[in-house]
Amino acid sequence: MILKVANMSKHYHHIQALKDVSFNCVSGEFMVVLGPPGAGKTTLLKIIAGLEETSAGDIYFGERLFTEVEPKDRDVSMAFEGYALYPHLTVFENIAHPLRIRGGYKEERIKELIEQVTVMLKIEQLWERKTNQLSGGQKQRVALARALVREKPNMLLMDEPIAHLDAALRHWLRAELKKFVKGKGVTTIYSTPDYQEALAMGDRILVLFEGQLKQIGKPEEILYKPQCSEVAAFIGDPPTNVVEVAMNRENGRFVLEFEGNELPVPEAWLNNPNIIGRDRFLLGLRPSDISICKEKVAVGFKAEVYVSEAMQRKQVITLKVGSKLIKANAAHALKADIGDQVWGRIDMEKALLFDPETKKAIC
Amino acid sequence: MAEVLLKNVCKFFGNVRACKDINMSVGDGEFLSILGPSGCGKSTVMRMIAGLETVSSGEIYIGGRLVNDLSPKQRNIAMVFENYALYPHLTVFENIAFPLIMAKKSKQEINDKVSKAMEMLRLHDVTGSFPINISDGQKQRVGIGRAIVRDPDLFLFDEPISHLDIMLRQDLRKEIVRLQRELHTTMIYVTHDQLEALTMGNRIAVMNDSYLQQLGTRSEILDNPSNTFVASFVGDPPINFIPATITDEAGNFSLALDGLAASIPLKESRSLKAVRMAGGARIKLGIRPHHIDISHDTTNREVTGNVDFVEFLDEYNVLTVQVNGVKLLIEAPKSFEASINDKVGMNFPESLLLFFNDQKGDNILAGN
Repeated sequence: MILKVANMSKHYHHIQALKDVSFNCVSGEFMVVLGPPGAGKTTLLKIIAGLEETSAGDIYFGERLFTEVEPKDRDVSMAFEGYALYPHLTVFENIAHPLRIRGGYKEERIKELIEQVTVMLKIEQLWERKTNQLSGGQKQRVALARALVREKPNMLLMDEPIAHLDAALRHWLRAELKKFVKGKGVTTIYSTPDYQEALAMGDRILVLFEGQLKQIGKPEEILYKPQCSEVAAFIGDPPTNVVEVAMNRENGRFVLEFEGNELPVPEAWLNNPNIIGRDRFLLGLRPSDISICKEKVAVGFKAEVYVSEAMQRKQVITLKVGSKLIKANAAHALKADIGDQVWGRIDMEKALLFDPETKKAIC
Repeated sequence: MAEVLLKNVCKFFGNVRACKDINMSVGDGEFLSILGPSGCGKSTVMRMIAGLETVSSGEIYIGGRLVNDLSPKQRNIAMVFENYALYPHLTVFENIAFPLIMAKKSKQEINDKVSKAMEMLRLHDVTGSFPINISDGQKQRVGIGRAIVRDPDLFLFDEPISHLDIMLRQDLRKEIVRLQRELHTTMIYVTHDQLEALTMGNRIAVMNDSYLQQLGTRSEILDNPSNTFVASFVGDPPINFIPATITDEAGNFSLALDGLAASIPLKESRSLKAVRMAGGARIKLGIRPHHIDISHDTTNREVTGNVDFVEFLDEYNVLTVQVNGVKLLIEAPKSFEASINDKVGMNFPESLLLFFNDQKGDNILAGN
């Protein structure tokens, strides 16, 4: 264990930015912090960097209590949004700065290291430009280059480093950044609001919502085994539908009720004491697990087509079920006009279950 | 009736060319997306249609009327911008009603129109709330509601949701699409987000560097892009470009792919037509990531390489495959298990190849 964050909390006046966050980072790990805007990702990274103080909790780096170490002595390389570049220096000099401050680098070596990072970030042609002549996306990459050029810092922190770049560059950089950083073996924490970026890059993903750590795990775990409904509702395009259902017992038979539709309870659930004692759940239905049919289905719900959106390789149909809106994937060939009455067929075995109060997954 | 017609429209700001030779028509009730990177001129086009900018040369017609000299007010249009500028001291209802109150409409008409707009935009729950108490998504819907009640001939949207987070963007996108389908009003929607343009528009106008690059349906833009700019700007993951040389061995044509140490045969009439029209031996080949056929079997495959990186995503994986010095992006199904350094074999289905002029970047087969 290299980095240990224990019970970290942070509040700004009455706003709780982070609540009791605890996790460990293994040496050389590429950890992605995923969460919507306002979740606390930047706060978390700034505290680890030492740019903010904790309200409670500790950070250990190896044996050292990091929270007592000055930011400049933490030897953390960082790239934050809006992190100032020196406007009177060229791109080259800005990126060279951390190396020059460290000292002990020959000019050729500095040039070599800068070439490496600028080629990767596709800004090698900008060496001689003054930074106040660059576009927003270019400035972002220069700041990133400056963080990456250090050879072996204790840690590398990147706060949404490729947010404003175009799609082609983002795919390129997801691969190149990850390989570059892993090649150096530096423990890295990378934040993003983009779940695809998190899945594509993280060794592990830490999901943050409203300052709380909701789940930490490998990409497959986050994708296939969400531990709470908030995580399920954040991942996927469209994300998993999370709806409230009631469980009723009629004539000795268990039945689920969803917006006036009856759904059968799978055999496996009947033997699960965790499930059978309840009268309400949150049900997670993936859009790819809902089929739209023009005729009544055995297991499913009645719906009205609210809108259909044609995506690149599928259609996303939004269905109105009672007062709720549910999204389902469909092939382009399916004709679905606003107001059409249809049925959504679901496979109950694939449904996810969550507690309606705690939002946690029910096993 | 609100067809929109732009004829040879140009706009210069002093010496700076913002729009050049813009020719486009939008049918009555059509949803047109105008897509392009920042600085391409798309907002300027919209502002000229709105009457917020004058036209340097050319004509703009709305509903058959020449509008060049008409003020925005006289054009019967409604605009929705990124900053919705709601009156903080007025409720949701009052904000939406505002244009009708200004136009001195009857109380009955105001009630009817505003209620209908709020119902359409699912704002009935917050009718008496003030802007400070509603969410960003709701605020944007109020901005849209305010535009709807004016019964305009034409809606103009200028990147209204690009500043919102992804969940909200998805939410509002579908609301705007639904709105257009219900109102059947002509809508022109400006965005830099290619997914937004593709999902929302009946047709898409792609712009770059002040010129209109292509105006077409989703499939026309994706399957038959007019040039390398359109091909690379629209579609995610982005298209692969491979410089290639046409070789002719006793009437058997093939494409020698630069840097890949591979050659693909050209047998179909479509490919042979491209060869004839290429005007030289060098071309730029384009193939989309989801069109490349990938396999662990490397025998009898046109191109072989090594997996350099796996982007594990939710619906498919994006593999970066290194073929000699060249990196290709391939969209592979989740069922295709791949790890870094795996050797893989790929085929490029001939009917899905795109052929571009290697100097100018035009699609050699465009319009064919």
